[in-house]
Amino acid sequence: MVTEKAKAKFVDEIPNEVMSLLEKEGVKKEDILFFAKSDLNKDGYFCDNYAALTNENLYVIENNAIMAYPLTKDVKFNNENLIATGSIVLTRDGEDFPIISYTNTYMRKFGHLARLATKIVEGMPLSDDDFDIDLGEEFCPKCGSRLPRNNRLACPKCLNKKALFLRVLSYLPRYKFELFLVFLYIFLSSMISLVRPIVSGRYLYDEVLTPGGRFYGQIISIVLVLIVLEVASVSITILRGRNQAGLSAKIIYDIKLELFSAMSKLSMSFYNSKQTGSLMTRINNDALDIQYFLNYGVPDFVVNALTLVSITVIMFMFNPLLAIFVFLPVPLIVYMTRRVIPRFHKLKWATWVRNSRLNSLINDSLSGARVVKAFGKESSEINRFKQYNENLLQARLKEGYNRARTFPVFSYIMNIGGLFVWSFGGYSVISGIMTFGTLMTFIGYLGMIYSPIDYMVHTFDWYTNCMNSAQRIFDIIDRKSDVPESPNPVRMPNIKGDITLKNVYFAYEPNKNVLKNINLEIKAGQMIGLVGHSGAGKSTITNIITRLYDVDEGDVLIDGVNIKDIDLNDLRSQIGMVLQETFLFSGTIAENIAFARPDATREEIIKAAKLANAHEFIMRLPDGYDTVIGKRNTNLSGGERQRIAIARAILVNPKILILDEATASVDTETERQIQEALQNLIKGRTTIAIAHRLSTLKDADKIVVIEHGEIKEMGTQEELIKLDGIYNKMLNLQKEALKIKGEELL
Amino acid sequence: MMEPSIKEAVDINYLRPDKTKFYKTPGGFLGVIVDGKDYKRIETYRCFPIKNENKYISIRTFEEEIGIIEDLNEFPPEQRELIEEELEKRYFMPKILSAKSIKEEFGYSYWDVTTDRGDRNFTVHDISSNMIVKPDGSIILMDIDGNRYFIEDIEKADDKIRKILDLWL
Ligand SMILES: Nc1ncnc2c1ncn2[C@@H]1O[C@H](COP(=O)(O)OP(=O)(O)OP(=O)(O)O)[C@@H](O)[C@H]1O
Ligand SMILES: [Mg+2]
Repeated sequence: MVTEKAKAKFVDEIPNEVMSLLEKEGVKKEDILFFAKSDLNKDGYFCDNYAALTNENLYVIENNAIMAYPLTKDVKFNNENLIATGSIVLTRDGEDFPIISYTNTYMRKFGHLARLATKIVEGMPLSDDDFDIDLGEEFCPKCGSRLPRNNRLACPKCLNKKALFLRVLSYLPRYKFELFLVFLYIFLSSMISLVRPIVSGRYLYDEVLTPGGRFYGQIISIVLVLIVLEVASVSITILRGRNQAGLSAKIIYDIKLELFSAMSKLSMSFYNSKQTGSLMTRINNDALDIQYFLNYGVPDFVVNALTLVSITVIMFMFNPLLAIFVFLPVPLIVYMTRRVIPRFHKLKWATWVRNSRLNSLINDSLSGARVVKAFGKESSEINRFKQYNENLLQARLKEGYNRARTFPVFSYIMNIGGLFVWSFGGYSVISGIMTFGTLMTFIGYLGMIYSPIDYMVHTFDWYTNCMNSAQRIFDIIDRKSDVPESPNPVRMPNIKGDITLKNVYFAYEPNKNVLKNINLEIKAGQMIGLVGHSGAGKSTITNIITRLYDVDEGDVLIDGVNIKDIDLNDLRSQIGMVLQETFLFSGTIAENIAFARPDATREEIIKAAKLANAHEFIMRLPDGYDTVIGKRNTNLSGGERQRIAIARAILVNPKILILDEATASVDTETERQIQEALQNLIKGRTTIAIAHRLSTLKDADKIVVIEHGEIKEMGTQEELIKLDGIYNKMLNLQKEALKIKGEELL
Repeated sequence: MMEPSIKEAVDINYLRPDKTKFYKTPGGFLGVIVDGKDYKRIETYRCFPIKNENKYISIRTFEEEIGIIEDLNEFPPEQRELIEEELEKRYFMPKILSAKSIKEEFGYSYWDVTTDRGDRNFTVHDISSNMIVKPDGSIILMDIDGNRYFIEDIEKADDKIRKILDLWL
């Protein structure tokens, strides 16, 4: 039975006018099992249509008209996916009719609707489990914008920018002492720079050089004072530089560490959707931006604000009228900066984009160096690089030219203020309203005031820049993993190895189911073989069992516990994988074998290598286990790499062993040897082996034939041969092929 | 299912107008009779959907390819329209006519636009990786659900659109 509570989240959103249409048909609200809104009509125009499911009918409401489709035995409902749209198609008497259409946004919901309808048609009872799913269409509660699937906490548009800023600042308190010093130095140097114009202006001219002044004639003393100030200022600058360099290193270390650990936690789908090059540029540039902002931006802001305010106060105290002249051009400067800066921002962004594209290209090209050389495409790669580089150059030039054009204008405007002060001040001095010393102090301050103003105006630009970087970084740090760890994970340090897949559906992309209704039971210690055409979904099944991805619907159980509840560490540490694409890290062979268990002893490493039949070839290498594997592993053959990967899996001593084409790149003789090794290895372990070469699977307890994401046949080899279906055909084909090669299969 | 011989697998079976007749099913889907053989429900795919020309159109049942139309323009208008209609359904891609507002913030952009298929709100993440720029200056944009939108000519597009896409061109 389905409880009201279970289905509530799907039926709560029925609009009133739709409900009244349904009521006219005699449908009560509590009869409705499932309700879905679509955004498209059958002619391909955007509009709101609805579907409602009861135990008797599927209702479709389009254009205020309601249609009822009875759920009788003679109909079938299917969710058909096109590229960006889908339809529920009803099949009756061998004829297909589309009954409602929708865009990808609602694909999952309608897919589920079709499955529920099918269940009812087939007379299967619905239960609360059928409603305990996340259909992943989330909209921002505040503005209604569509949110990305499953991995956002808040709509970025409605995100609180102040909170963002505070969060960036929250990095600072960790370095209390360093910060205190920075601010202390800042304070001292501002004081000095404020005092200096007074000494070198007012005191020098009015008190020392003018007859009758308080210190008339004491030139040596005043020069000494000036020297002391100068020395103090230089020392403070040096100290502050040292201090900030240290602080800066720590901040960047922290940010990068946090980022990197966040990225490692992300699920595979994140890495699949990002180009690695752009990811690296992003991390480096963004972390740098934040670091600059914290390390220089914030303190400099304080310095400049402090200087600006004190100078203003002092100037107005000395001579308000003259002070006004100084500030005359300020509004003009601010206005210009505000207008011009966004353009720079844009240009800078364009440079960033191009830079990251170039990095991507370099990354691609280097990873694919073998392919490039094999096809003799070096020159076209160079051309591609040239073009990207040229694009980057253009962007840089544009940015540079703009800078070069704009900044002289700025300084000219600033100088206008100086001219005012000179002329008005000079006039005041001559007419005796003001002393020459005061004028010189003013001139001194004049030189100091525009740079803080300029800075403050730029701060805005910096600030946005940094907030953008921060947002991108927090976007990664905050991203809810697609495979979230359960809040109360079940600790399972000793997995037995029973694996159950129940009605599993999975899609990498929302509109393409790769696994459809997979039901599979593997007992602890069994070996099962997965076979099927390339792209059938074999590797995908293993991805799901290792929880690199979470299923969309259905359950994966290990020892009867839902995989989503199992402590991820416990799970992964007891699964060993030998993958189709072997990846070796740069490092020694020993390190690679011990990758998952860095604490392994040398004896263990050698034993594992022997089991994997890798020992012999490793010993033939001059550096043995200490051989450093090149960046792209070019110095080992495909089969050799695969055997290292097998050794790696053996060393983990996993309860569940996954062999995805583990022996695909070795010759038959070596394969036989590895097989023997594996035979030892798989004893007492649950093993899932994927193989195109069917001979590899002859000892499997169960062979599962996958086609287009569905299980088509299942049984022991004999049973499948007797069945004379897909498996038998594959077997015969391979036998024939091997006969030609003069090899024997079974 | 017997494995096809190499020759069968490699040769392209071109569908020519004289031997191919498309028709509409009662449900509004497409069927085809090729050399007298009736396929009750077929699907049409473009081999090069981004190029989006009337060339190389694959006609398939749910299981396999029946053949390829090399150039749709060889077919009589009424047949052509049937297929074009079907293609349009499959490659549903509203054309953006104007933008009411586009807001970009922190890597996401929020579009409120009028298309030739009605008004629409959608969200694009990371424009650079979800935009295809074609040599003719048109642009395909993919939102976070994988829906596609078409901008016919970036030079002639709304200022709001240009402003946001210019950064990536
Ligand atoms: N990361 C991914 N994103 C999107 N689609 C994917 C991804 N990985 C695989 N697919 C698709 O899923 C389907 C099944 O892939 P899978 O790797 O499971 O096949 P397989 O049975 O292991 O094939 P093979 O024998 O060639 O290794 C394929 O159609 C493939 O294109
Ligand atoms: Mg695979």
